[in-house]
Amino acid sequence: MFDLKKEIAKWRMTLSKKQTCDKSDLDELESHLGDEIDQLKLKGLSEQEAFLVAAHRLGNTDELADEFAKVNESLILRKKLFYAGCGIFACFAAICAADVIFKISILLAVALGLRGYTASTFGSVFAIILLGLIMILLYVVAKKNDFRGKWFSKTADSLKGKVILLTTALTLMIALSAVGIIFTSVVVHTVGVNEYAQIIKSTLFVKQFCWLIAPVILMIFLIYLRPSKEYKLA
Amino acid sequence: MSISKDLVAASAIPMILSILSEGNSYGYAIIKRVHQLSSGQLQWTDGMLYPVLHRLEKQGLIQSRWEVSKQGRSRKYYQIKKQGTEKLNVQKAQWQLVNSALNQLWEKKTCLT
Repeated sequence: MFDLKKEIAKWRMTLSKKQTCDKSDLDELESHLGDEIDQLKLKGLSEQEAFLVAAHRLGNTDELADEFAKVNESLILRKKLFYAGCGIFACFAAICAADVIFKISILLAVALGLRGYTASTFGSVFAIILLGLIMILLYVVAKKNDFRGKWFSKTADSLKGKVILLTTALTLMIALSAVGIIFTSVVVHTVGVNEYAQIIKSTLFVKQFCWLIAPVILMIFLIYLRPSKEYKLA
Repeated sequence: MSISKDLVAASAIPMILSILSEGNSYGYAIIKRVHQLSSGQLQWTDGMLYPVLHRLEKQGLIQSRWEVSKQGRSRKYYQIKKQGTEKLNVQKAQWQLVNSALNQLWEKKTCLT
């Protein structure tokens, strides 16, 4: 059964994926397509024939996208900068999170009454295990929710969505930093500055490892979430 | 008759501006008018009209507004602005100059036979 609405939506999606048209451009082209289809139907063509002829007359989607790219240069650049900015924020948030995980581990070691090298070793191992668990959790979440990439681009398209994303990211970063500071203060308060310095010195490598691995985990997570080549309609 | 790409591209702007100076219109109607004016010889790739319209709008020669028709279809209507009319007059003068020169050459040729 030929579904006109579905075909038009598919056509729109093909063009929209090229990322060179904004919503207004797509609406205008869709309106044109609709007008042409109506005219062709009046001439006696079936819905399917009308759609095929109209889409063909409108032009090859690749060429159309290229032409629009020339006219929407600043829009495209702004979009790219936005995504780059999001990436930087996300990286930063990942590092914050890794830092907090590390601090939780140290706090736990200290809370359990451990001191010296025992504390550092326990803290390091625990941090690695915790990071591993989070990796597994992200994997499970990504597999379960089939929001592979669609959710982000849909949200990021509207201004409201952008504001929500930005606010969430900032709140998360501030909250994580605050938690980190609190944890550190508690540890220092419990074991004193010297002991704290000892623990930090012996866990330097692990801490840096956590910092470096966090963005990598984030990247793997995002790559896993990328839309598959057969981008199905919602 | 297939018209050369360059000729189509060069004539697009004066044609669009002239059509809009007849009255406000939207993309689909503009294409149909061009079609009608050239008795079907000028077949623009429909979609390519819109980047041109947007470029003209960015240059401040035309402006646009969304309107909803009685049948419920939303269309973007374009209106020529004062700057557009000025540009059109300049282009008109240029085309008429070229046309007049060519006509003189071609008229001469037919006279010889």
